[in-house]
Amino acid sequence: MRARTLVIAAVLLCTAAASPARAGPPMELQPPAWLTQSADAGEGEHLRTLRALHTRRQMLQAHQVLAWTAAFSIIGAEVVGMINRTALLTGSIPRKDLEPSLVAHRALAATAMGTYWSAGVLAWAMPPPSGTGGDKPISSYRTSRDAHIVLSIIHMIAMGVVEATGIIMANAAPAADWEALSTVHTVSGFVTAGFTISAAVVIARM
Amino acid sequence: MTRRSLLVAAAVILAASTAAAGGGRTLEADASVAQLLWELGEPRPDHWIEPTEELVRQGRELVLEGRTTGPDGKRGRPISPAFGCTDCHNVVREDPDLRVSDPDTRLDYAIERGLDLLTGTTFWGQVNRTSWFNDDYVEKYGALVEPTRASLREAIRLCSSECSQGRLLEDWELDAVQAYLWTLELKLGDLDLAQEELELVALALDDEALAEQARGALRGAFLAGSPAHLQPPPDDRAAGYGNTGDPARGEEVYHRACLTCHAPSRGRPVRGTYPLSTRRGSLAKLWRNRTGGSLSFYQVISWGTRPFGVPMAYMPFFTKERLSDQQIDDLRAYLASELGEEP
Repeated sequence: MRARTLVIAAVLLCTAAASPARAGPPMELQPPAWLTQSADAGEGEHLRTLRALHTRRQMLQAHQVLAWTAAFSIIGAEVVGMINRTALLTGSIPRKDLEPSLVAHRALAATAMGTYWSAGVLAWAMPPPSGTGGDKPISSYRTSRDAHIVLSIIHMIAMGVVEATGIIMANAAPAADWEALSTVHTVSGFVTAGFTISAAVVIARM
Repeated sequence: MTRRSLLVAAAVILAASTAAAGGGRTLEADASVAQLLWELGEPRPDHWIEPTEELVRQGRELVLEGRTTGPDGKRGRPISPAFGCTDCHNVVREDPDLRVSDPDTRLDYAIERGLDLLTGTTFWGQVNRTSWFNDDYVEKYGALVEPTRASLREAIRLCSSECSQGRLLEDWELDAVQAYLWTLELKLGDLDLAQEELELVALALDDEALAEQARGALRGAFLAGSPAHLQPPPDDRAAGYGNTGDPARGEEVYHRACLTCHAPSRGRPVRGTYPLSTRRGSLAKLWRNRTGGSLSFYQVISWGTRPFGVPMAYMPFFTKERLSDQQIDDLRAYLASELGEEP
């Protein structure tokens, strides 16, 4: 039990440490410099800003599509995973008969991981909405963006736990710890999906 | 030709005749106001471009259809997946008096001529202006509006990229849009100049001493830029702005300002993600949400919405010069009257 706790704690710490360092104004995730620099160093500041905002918009749309795909893949993986878990724990279905369902769970999990981290990289890399009046009284955009980032950090940690526990269960977990790890895995999955959807809802509100 | 146009043309010809008798030049009602100003010593604006037939065609297609055929003969990409220029801008005159931006007289004018009430100012006469994205647009677009305040070219660039959530225009596309806009320039007959002002302009064309005064007369006959001020929602949305609403005018506002984008039956694609109609259920939904948050018509008319989804469409806000608090309360009165509610 102590080993399991240590593993989980290590996963949480690693995930938290891997989250992007904050610099500048509160809640601003800084994109890499190459993305915000124009290819044409001679073009005006205005044009450079508009170009960066256009890039941001394209990345934002891809981010949204990937994030929704990730959220629904996680939910799908959760449903299939819970069926598998029940079957394995109760022994109601022989392991070999469960194989297609296990493959489905892995496929959904792989889709979720791929889309989730792609969405995350896009979110981190996109140019900031600099130059716009987004934080002006037109809307509560500033507040909702801050909330979006907080929720994103939470679901990123939860996603890290899901992946770590999934890998450990599939490869290295002692049978005695499997059930507890599975519970953490399942709960973390729901937290990830829930907070991912919450982050989308928050940012969609004015 | 309307009675008003006939009167203006007659006044111009009369002034021209009078001036001719006194040595001034003959003025025609369709004389270019910009050309007259240049002849009177005003420098040509940076956005001047010779409107060749090809450029005008391309510009017209870009403005009216959102894409055109480029110099390489290939069909260009759409400017925006979310909006076309004419979703927010008319291309015809929309104000009876060009000296003021008055939403109430504009509504009457729109009813008379079957125009929509759009969030942006008409493209008609834009090339004669000297300032764009004025006043409170800085609240929405921040520092991005600074270069646009004195440059139509930069204003077009901002509009295509940010306002329409589209792409940056190529230089030749900017030239084309500018060329098309020059076909929508003001003509002398469009201005409500007094007889003596027309005489002054005619005389000043041959008398440099009168040029500044004549330029002032011409410039004073239309706005140099559209005023644009935010109109916050009322503190108490249940009570509205406190005006007594007129349901008949509110119905016009609903049809010309709301359904233009939100109803599929007016010949355009639906631009809003919030479909509306004249059916009771649709009106009831608007009425129910009036006191709410992000879906209240008070909220979205005043602040607009933020871009979201794919494509990243949004609702632009109406400044108080585009939709007055009285007109919003008229809209409220229309909804109440249709639903049998207390306004």
